[in-house]
Amino acid sequence: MRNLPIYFFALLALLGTCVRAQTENALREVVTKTIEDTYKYTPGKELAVEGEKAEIFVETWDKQKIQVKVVMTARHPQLEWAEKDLENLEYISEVAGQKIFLRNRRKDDNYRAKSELTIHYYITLPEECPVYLKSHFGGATISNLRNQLRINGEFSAINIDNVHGLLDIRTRFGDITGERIDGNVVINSRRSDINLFDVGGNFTINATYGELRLSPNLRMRDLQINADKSDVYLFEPIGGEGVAYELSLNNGEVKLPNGRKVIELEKTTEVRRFAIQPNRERIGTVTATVSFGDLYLAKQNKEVEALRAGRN
Amino acid sequence: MKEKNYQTLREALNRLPEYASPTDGWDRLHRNLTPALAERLPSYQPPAEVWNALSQNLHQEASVVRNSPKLAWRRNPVVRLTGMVAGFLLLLLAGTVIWSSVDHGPKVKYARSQEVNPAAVIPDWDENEDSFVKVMAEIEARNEPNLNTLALEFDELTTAKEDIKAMLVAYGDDPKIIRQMAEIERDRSDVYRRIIIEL
Repeated sequence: MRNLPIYFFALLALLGTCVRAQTENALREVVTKTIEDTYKYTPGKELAVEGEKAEIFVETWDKQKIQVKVVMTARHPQLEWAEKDLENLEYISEVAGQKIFLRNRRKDDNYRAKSELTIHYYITLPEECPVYLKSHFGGATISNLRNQLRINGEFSAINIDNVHGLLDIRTRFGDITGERIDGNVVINSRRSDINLFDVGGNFTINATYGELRLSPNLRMRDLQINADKSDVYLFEPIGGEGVAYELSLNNGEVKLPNGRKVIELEKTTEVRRFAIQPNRERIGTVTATVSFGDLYLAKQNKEVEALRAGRN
Repeated sequence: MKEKNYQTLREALNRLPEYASPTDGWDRLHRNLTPALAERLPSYQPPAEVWNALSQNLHQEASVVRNSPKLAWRRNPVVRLTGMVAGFLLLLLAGTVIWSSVDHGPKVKYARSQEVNPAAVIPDWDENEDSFVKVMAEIEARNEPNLNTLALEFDELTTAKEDIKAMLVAYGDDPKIIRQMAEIERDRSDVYRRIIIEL
């Protein structure tokens, strides 16, 4: 019993050491390399970004400048490894004529990184600057552009908000989420889900192995959907009775809304075709061809409309 | 142009008298030009009073200018100091404008910090590959259209899985990439189940 205090303090010291070791193991080092550059913008210039495992954010401002901030980060419990792995990442910027070309790559492709490596691009430019993004893994978030946007993505999530003009998007294994898009839009997707809300203009969507959820607005003039092995959910805007539909299904189920006059044009074991004529002056046309997938057509609900009205 | 009476012209020219310059012509010219004309002109010194008058006039005009009330402010030390400061500021401003207009290239910064280490990821996505390989071999042996279509789909997903694995090797265990791997594996499992039903 006399040694009880000694045992008690020894136990406390042991516990303290364990806790300290655990705390040390629970932390990791974060080494960040930030590169900032600014380019003068004049009409005719365009920006091309080729990101690998990079999150690319594109935003606009009133200045006639293109500002680029690239953040490359390495995370590892040991500082030496984080620093060494970060050194293998390289950011390259080139200006060739009217084109500003930015990209990142690995110096040694065969190098096996021990750290978790991430790359972020933060780009701010005039809204009229054409943008071309190529993304292999990672993602792209673009907002407020007004001219031309081209995206070629693989394994990259694509988010677009408030973009007008010409859009050409190709994606594989990368979902697309878009809101407030207006213009001439072409989307080619494979194994990617597409979710578009409040979109108008002329859209052509070719999708394979995906789920499409489309909520056009009353400015949608022409929407053409070719969906293979994909399900399509179309949500008609309130007041969209002027939209004409031509729907074709091959080996799929269809669900159409009540209250619209549906004309069945073809019905076999495999193929079904429908037409829905506008109830009033035609404001747009939706053509959907779905193979080995289902098609749902429904009204946008009032909550969604209210949300849109609140934002505008 | 061709001369019609060439012979007649030639004979007439041959009859013309010939003259030669005197042999000492150049020597006589040289003698007449030495010494030069400027050296032969007479020189005159102005009287001393002309210089004195000139000097006096210049001195008076300078003192008039110096004492002019319009220019008196220039001698004010405050004005002089202000002028110097203004000049310096102007130079500074011009330097700043020139400096800012020159492209200095990208700015690079490094930073270090610490964060909580996330739980380690167990790379278990290759554990069922053996059964997949066996099934694919059976599909190849049977060579049926439905199965071949499913095999193509499975191959596409397997290629995507290899791409993701390559990214994990190159960029480490990023949770976002691991989620993509999980999604691909679920899709592969789905195709695998459809293959099993067909088999």
